[in-house]
Amino acid sequence: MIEYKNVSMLYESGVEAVKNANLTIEKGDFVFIVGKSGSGKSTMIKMLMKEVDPTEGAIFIDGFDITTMKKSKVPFLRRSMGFVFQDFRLLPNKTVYENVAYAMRIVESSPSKIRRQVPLALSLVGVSNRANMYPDELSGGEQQRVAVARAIVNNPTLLLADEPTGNLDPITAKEIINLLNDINLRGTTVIIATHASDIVNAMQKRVIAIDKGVICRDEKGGYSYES
Amino acid sequence: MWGSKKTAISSLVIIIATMVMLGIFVLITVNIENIIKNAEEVQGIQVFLYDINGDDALVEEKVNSIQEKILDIYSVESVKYISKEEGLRNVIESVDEQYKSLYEGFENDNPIPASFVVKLENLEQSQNVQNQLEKIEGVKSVISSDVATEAIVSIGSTINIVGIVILVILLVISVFIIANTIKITMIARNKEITIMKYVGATDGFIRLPFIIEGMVIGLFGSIIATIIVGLAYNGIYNSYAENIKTTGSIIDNALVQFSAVSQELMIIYIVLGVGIGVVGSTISIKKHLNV
Ligand SMILES: Nc1ncnc2c1ncn2[C@@H]1O[C@H](COP(=O)(O)OP(=O)(O)OP(=O)(O)O)[C@@H](O)[C@H]1O
Ligand SMILES: [Mg+2]
Repeated sequence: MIEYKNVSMLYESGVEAVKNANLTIEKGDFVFIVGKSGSGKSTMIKMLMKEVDPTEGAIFIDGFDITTMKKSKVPFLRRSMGFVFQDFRLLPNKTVYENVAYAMRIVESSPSKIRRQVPLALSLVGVSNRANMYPDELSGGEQQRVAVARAIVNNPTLLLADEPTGNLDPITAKEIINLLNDINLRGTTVIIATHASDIVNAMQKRVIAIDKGVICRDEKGGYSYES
Repeated sequence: MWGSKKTAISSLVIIIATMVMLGIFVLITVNIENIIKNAEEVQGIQVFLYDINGDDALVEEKVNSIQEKILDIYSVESVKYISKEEGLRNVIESVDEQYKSLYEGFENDNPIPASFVVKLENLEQSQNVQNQLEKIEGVKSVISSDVATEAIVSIGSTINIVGIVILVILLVISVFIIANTIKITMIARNKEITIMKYVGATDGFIRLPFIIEGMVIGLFGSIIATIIVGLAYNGIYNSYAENIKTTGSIIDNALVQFSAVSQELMIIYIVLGVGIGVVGSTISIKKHLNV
């Protein structure tokens, strides 16, 4: 369970990206965070992965306050999470297989476990036949699938996706969201920051809307965040 | 592995320069020590005594007591007694045939004083020992003929100071150039580092390759420096050995063979090279790698 308690984020530039956010996300939830550009979506995610720390309030994961967590423990927090970004962030000089295996090597998984898990993750996202190709030989959608495979290969309990469909055409975007939905159905909590209204509307999941750093809506349904 | 070949090579060059400098410095020092050691074997301090009036037993007792006092002085290795008669014989032997007769008349009225030849463990203590010898009762005069040795000792300590200063400067430069090389590698691998952080790599895991890169540059530098210094020194040694014939002075066998110091030098190089590499990359990581 994830809990934001009176969380505010004031960047050094003076921008208050998040203002007094209160939020609970249960284990196994599928959540969209929506809002205009600059509304604070990415900041909400960055605080959860401890790329930045809130200037006020606290964030709890399973009752544990991550804002006061020691810096040396952050890698272990991140091992319980998977990340997907708009720009895929694959290593260009590694093959698809190596890119995914790399995530396992970094957490010092055994070679036999890597040989078992990587093909599994690749087949789950549907790129098994691309295993020996390099990222620049793949379409954007395929690259994002590889990124998803990398995000889930270590079996995280939480998957964070910041604009995962931002660089994809609508049909491919829908496929990626469906993939994330499949992963959610296997028990992983999924949080997606996006402004792709058609996808949000189609999924009819929980939507947290923020406007200039303030959470203005939190309910199951579509994208619109008026009222 | 190299972030940029050019900067890696420049770090390598500066490390090699540092080590070659260190090698020259070490070899000069070792050779000076060798010359001094040779000199110690050839020469000694001469301590002349006042004539002792009395019978043989009294003379022997006094000589023994002075000898004890000399042996008590710090750094004195050995003492050899030369009686008046022996002293005279030595003088006669050392002069040319034609003058020998001049001394024959002295046998009954020997003007040569009895003396001790004192050898030292450490020639740098020479002045100190001489001062103490002069204070011993019964000692008439102390003569140290090793002006050349003293000059070498003083040259040696000057080289020490200059060498250390240059070395420290080069070390500092090496560390910073390595740090810069590692910084460039880190910038080149920025994307990979970011991904490593997202996936949950520990700080140590992220740092390790950079530390290793620093170490490898240092290690490479030490190996190349050993080869350069070894070849150059052997060249000097061989031409010295060919050109300097036995002169009977301290410059015979003045140079030590490279094999006598190569092992120590190699160890110093490796420790230093790896040390520079690790320190340089650590500085760079602390400064630029936000982990
Ligand atoms: N590192 C930073 N330093 C200073 N200000 C920042 C930083 N990151 C974000 N901001 C500011 O905080 C506000 C929220 O940014 P954030 O990236 O969270 O928005 P977003 O909702 O993700 O926008 P987008 O849809 O364009 O990705 C913006 O005004 C932005 O300029
Ligand atoms: Mg954003």
